[in-house]
Amino acid sequence: MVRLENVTKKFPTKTGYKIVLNSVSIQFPTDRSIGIIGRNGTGKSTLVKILAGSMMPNAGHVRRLVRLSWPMGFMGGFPGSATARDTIRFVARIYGEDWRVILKRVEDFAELGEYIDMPVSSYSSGMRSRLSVGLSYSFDFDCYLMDEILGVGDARFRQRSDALFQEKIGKSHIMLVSHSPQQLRKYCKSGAVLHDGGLHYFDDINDALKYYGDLYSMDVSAGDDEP
Amino acid sequence: MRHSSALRVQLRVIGALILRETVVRAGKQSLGFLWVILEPLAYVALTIGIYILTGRKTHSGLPLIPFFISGFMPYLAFRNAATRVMMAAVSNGAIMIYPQVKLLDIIIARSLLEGSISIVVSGVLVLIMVMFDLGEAPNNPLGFIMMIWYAVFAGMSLGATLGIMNQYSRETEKIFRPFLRVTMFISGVFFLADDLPARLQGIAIYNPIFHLIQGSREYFFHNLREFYDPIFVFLCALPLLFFGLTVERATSRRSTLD
Repeated sequence: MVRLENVTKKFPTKTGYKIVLNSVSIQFPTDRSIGIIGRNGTGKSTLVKILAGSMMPNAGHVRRLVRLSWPMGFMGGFPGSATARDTIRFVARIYGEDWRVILKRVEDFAELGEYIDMPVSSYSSGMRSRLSVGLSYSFDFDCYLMDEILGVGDARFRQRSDALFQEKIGKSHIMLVSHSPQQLRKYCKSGAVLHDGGLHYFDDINDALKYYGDLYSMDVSAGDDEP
Repeated sequence: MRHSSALRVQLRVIGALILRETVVRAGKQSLGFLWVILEPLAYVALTIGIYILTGRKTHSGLPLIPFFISGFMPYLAFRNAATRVMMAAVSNGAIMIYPQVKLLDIIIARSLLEGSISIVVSGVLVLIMVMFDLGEAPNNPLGFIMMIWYAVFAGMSLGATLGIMNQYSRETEKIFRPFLRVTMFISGVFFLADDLPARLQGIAIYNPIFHLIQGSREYFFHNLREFYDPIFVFLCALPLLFFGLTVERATSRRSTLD
């Protein structure tokens, strides 16, 4: 269970404040995977960071009774100048795990070979995804926060991350930020729509998608949407 | 995974950061670690070399090698701590995505690392000096070590404030680096308090860095007049630290969207 209590988050801009979350109170169950839907720029990444604890809200509290991953995003968490090995060791240490165990799991999944000792800035996007997903799956989080990270990568990667994810079904779930209705329906049972500082939760992902579609007068019945 | 108290997590994070920062500080070249020792050694050796070549002596007649070791080491500890802490947020954006990692942890880790490096390098220099009979060991080594840590504390405090200013304007870093260099010449690395005429002493007494270096000298040698005022350094450093940390808290993560 993850709960937002009167959470407000706003950013100063040249024309006043941009309010991403306006005193939002909502409770997310963590016995299922949840999709987070919203247009670009509404603050989905910010929401995920606040849920994880990477970012503090301006007001309100976040209550977590489960173990959340860090916000998994395309570029996040890996300083470019450090090698994958160094960063894996660092992350293992801050979570209190034995880095040798974590390193082995990542090596097995990500199949980076000798690239593990090269700076992450030299990686292709596919390699970054493998590294990022591999590292977070090496820990036993109750809920993985994924910010548009499942879409990238080739078929083999998607297959393998699906397989790894299947192993964790029943123990772990995800909160997935995505623009793809296909993906959202595939992975998520419920959904939340972020719009205009408000967050609306729906037990059925299809209801969430319909609400989102109605908001922007779009057809969300199939395929990827590009707002 | 086990449940840990917040303190245990923070200690774990600082430990992991120290290990990471050690690698980061050494740099990318294969002899990066060597440079960590060579840099202070270069300052001391080059200065002494110039003095010897030009036939200069210290104003007070104190021997050159211990004089410059006791002058440079606290200064470098202060300057490096200030610079590293000022830049703490800049190259660490990526790892602050992990919720347990806070800017204060990075500041503490960098400060502890700089202090340890300065003490180890000081120890190496003193060891070489004593082994080759180039000078006497410090009179109060523990006091000297304490001064190094005090210099790190002062540097950390200044760095915290400069770091905040740097978040608002990246020019801060460019302005303050040369400014810090200038302080090397006016803060007693090259002279003692008593080498100054009384009027200048009245001005120098308001320079906290001067106190740090003078204090270091008082522990290194004996029979130096007591000039060093630890309270004054504390009164200068504490508001800076308070200001830096408070503003950081108030404005943390003011990142722009996407």
